[in-house]
Amino acid sequence: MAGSPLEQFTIKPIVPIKLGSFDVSFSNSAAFMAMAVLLSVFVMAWGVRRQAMVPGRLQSLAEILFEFISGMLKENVGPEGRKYLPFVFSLFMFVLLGNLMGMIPYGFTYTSHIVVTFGLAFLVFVAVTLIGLIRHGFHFFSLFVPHGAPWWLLPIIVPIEVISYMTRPISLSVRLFANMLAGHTMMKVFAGFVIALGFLGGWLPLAMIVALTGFELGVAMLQAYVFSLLTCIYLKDAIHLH
Amino acid sequence: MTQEPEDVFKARLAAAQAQRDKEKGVTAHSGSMGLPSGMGLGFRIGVELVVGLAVGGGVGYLIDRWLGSSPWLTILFFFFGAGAGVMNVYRAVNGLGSRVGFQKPRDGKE
Repeated sequence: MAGSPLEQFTIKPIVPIKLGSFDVSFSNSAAFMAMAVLLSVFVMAWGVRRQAMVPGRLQSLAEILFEFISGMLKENVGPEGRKYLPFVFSLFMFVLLGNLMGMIPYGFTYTSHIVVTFGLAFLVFVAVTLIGLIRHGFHFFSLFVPHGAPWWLLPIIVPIEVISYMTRPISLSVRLFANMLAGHTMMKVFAGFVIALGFLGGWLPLAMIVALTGFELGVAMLQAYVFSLLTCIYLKDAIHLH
Repeated sequence: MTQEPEDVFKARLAAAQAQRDKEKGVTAHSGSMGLPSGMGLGFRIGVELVVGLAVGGGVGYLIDRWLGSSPWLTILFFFFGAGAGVMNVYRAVNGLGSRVGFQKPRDGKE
């Protein structure tokens, strides 16, 4: 079989940089992250440069993306959530473009690395906790005491709630990372079947790849959506508490 | 175009936004998160269960190392973690999102 299905996830340094004993090379992962940032800035800045009443293609794209996240934030957090629009929007664009650029042949999916997704999810976790603490002070910890629980259950329930709170960044990051990793590995495995089965038997896996590609595009968008939706829900928890 | 003072504009903007929110009837209590696919939901539940256990065990292990009470707190927090995992699954299935501590009792719908 040609190549390992996991080979696509290897990080290769493009510009090797050493900082003390740390390897901070500019890798293919970093290159794609930079591309994602540039691309999203380009879509948003270039798309709205003319602000036509009847939007062109790029402007529609920029408007749809903006309206989508803005609506999601309103629906889930309420009017107070507007402040956090830049944060959620940047997260969404970064994850979405990471997922979608990974679908380009020879592309690299940085969201298939748990370091990246965990970094993002941990950022969300810390930000949400800080927002809650700043807005509510010590009252924030009432989040861990369920409504109407009998007092003798509290020694059991409070640790469970705290652990449940701490699982958030992990389940958030694992979900995104595992979806990306599994999807891309599966596609490579089926692609390997095409070669292995040759001209006679290769058509079935080839058809599967076509279907999987569409499916993966759906997953790429869905996971970006879920990631930012959960960020919104966490924000709502921190802002409203009750 | 005449320039209006910034604070006047800000007040006007705030009024317009409040008006728009009222018209649309936007409240903070929709939070319906229907995950579209059954596979997605199933996957999510699997992740929640495992992550609950892992985090519970991990927290217990760290506290054990800190207090030197190995292995008792690891065992205790392992069970807490299992509880948290099951509770997360319960919430996910009930469509309560990933809320911590359902303070609001479920009112009829949702």
